[in-house]
Amino acid sequence: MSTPIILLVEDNRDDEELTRLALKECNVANELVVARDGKEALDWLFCEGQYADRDPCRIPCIILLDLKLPKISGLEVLERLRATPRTRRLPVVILTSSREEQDLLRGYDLGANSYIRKPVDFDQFTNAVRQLGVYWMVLNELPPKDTPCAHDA
Amino acid sequence: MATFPDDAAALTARLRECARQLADMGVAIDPELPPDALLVRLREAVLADLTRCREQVAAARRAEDALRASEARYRALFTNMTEAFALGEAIFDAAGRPVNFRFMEINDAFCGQTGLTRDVVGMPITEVLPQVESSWVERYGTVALTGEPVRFTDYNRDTDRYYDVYCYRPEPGKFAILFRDVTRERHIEEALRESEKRLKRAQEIAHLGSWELDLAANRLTWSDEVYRIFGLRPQEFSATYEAFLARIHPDDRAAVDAAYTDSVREGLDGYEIEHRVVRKDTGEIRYVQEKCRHERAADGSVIRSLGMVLDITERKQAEEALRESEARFRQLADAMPQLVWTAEPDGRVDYYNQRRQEYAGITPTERDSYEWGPVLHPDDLEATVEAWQRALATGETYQIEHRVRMASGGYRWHLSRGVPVRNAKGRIVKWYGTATDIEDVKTAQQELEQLTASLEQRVQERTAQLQAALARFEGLLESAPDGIVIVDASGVITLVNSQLERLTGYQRDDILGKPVEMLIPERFRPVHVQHRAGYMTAPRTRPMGVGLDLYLRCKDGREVPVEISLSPFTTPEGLLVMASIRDITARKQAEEEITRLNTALRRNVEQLSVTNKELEAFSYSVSHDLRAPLRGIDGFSKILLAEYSGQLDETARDYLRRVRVAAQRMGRLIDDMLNLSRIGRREMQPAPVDVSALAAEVLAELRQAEPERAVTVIIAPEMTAVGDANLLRIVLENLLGNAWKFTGGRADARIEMGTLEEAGQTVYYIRDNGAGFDMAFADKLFTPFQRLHSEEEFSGTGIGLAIVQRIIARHGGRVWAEGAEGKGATFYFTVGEMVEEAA
Repeated sequence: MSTPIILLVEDNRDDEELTRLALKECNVANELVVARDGKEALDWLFCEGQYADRDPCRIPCIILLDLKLPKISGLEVLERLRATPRTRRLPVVILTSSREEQDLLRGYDLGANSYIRKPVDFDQFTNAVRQLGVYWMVLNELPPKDTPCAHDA
Repeated sequence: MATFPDDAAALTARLRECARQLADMGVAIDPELPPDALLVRLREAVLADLTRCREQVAAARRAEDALRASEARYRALFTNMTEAFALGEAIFDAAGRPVNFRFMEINDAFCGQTGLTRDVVGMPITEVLPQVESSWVERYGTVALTGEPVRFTDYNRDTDRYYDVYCYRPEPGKFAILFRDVTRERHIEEALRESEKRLKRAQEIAHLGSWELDLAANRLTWSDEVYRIFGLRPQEFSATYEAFLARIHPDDRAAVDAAYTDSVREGLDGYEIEHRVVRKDTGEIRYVQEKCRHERAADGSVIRSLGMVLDITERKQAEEALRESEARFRQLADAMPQLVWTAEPDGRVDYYNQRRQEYAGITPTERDSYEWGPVLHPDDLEATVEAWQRALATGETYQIEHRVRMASGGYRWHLSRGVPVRNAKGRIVKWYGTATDIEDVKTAQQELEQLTASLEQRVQERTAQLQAALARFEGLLESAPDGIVIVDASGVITLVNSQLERLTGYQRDDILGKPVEMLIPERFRPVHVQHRAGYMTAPRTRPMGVGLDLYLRCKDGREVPVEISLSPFTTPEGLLVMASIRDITARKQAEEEITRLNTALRRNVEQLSVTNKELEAFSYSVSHDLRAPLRGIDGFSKILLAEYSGQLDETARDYLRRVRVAAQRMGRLIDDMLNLSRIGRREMQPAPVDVSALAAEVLAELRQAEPERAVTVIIAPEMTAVGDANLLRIVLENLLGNAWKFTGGRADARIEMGTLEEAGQTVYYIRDNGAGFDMAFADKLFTPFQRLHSEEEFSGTGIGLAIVQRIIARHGGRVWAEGAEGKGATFYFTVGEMVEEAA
């Protein structure tokens, strides 16, 4: 088994790159899967569409979810995740530019595990990503695997 | 004898007359002879007679001489005698009846007593005294004929005298009269007779009899009336003293007898006595008054007694009646509760009843004086006397109220009244008066007056109250903005105000007393009558016709939309209902306008809502999308600096750093802008806030952020406010944060927060001694992103005070600042009433 996957749901290529750079800077070596919109994220997670053939046993240890996404919004993605048994316990960290109260409330209501606002200052951003990696990839204990792959298989 | 040739017939007649006369004298001549023969006969006869006469004259002359002496004597007597004397001859007619006479001789006294002169001698008496009564001629003629003397008294018209005449015949055919003028005696006599007659009559009328006792002749005479008084027929018998005594009442007889005999014996002039007599004819008892005067001779013996008897029965009876009447009057007067008095026409009081003595305690001397003074209150005396004098002077009723003294010494009010009693001629003969105790009446009257006065006052007060109430009511009615109609239970209009007149165009008189339906459009009238009847059964204050459009019908037929409220009230006249009628034309229009505006507003709100949503979407996208590029700019710049530093010179690196600073600043500006917009949109939750504690918290945080700074902080305790705690915290964070920031350059930094009262409102203030500001820019302080200091001096975006102002405004308060450059600043704010905002 390889390193756990980080699923980054982000439509902005700059933010994607910066996130990648920040992770690299923080020596987070996990495989980074990027979905560029909500649909792609869901397709990937549920092995549908273009990802129908991927190994369903590969599930992320964390999902970094932007909210403002093309096609399907981040909150809708979250909602679908939480509504699906296989994905409902997946740690989801909302990583977004928005600090709108409604987004915060809605995010937590839908079962987000954390909410991080992306700072403009890259130093701060890097710092945030570092802490995020330490926390979620190192410290945080994931829920036990319910061997979905066996089922799927 | 003269002849009248022209009147032969008359002459002839005269001749024949002579012949007849001669025949009477014994000379026989036929009077029927022819005139010539008759004349001859007559002449012969006359001549024969003449001859005879001559012989007789010669014989007589002798006797005459003797007589002459005697006659001279008698003539002197005749001439000088005081009695009138005349010698006359009678003239007879052919039948020998005396028809005339003439005087032949009269004396001086004759002339004196008859007023005739001697010229009358020889003239027929009918010429002298043309009116002579025939009785004179007859009497004298008779004497001249018969020779029988007569004496008589008779009246002569011509001389208007009475004469007492003695007549005799000195010789045949002649007469002599001796008389005197008795006119005066005659008049006296007649007067006397008349007087006696009157006396008699008077005695009859007066029942006054007279009597005379002639003692010398021992003869008693009674006048007729005496007989009558005694019940006898006048002169029935000769009066005697015994007869007199017999008629006297047995009980009085001795006294009367004694009176008479005593007066005679004791030499008195007379006596007077009243006694009773018993009438002989009827047995009736009469009262008489007897008066007697004695005439005495020189020796004192009574010659004659003259007396009178006056029947005084009527007077006696009248006196008795009067006495009884008087006694009754006195009893009555004494029995009366009033003081009773009588007075003479001159005002002298001659009688008071017993009451006065008992009442006023008048002593006999005072009473006898019959004066006002002692019994009247001194203050009333003058008015009383004046009133009495006026009554006496005018004969009008005397009336006055005055105080009369009581025996006990006090005074009581009396009403004194006096009325005059007049005789048949209208002359006042007496005053009758009373004085009635009216003290109690007066007291009662005064009490009544006081009562009346107080009652009147109460009535006046009540009236004033009522008038005021009425005025208030009318004022209320008239000042009411609505038209008011008051109707009675049967729907008849009893009152309206002027607003209604204006509203309807009717005059009050047009509608008062009419059914209220006249003010209602015709199509609604029948149903209104029903509704009205229904209302009257359960009257209460309520609007009329809820949910219906009501209309008032005006005089000109116009219909005005109205709102009507009904208020019943009960009056003594019954149930009345007041309808307050409001013209809602303007309101209707306003409502329509409001509806229109509301529609417009709703559209605006919808638009605004759309705009808001857009704005929200905008700020959402700002939040997401504007910051992302900045992060890219900053991030990649940082990576360039970090990864490619060696490939860049210092200038390039400096520029990249500047790019990063600018990007980061823009990020902050965006955040602040979003904050500001979020403040405006955030829902407020007002609650009591402990402002002092909040301020202390904020300052503690500031202190924690910069623990190296020494700042003196003074926070007034127990400051509170009602508001949204989170928002108020933001206010304090900004204001205290500013104070903290702008005192950064001072070693003796000082921040003070407290409150003061201004116009009943709590004003919070935060004062520092920091950099301050120029008051010229005070109004710009609260503009978003407005900064008064450079970023180098003091950091910040200039959004803080704009947020403060927005929060304070949302709290209904206001915020303002005072300050001067380098001398610190003071920020004031109030937290007003919480403004409820639409969501």
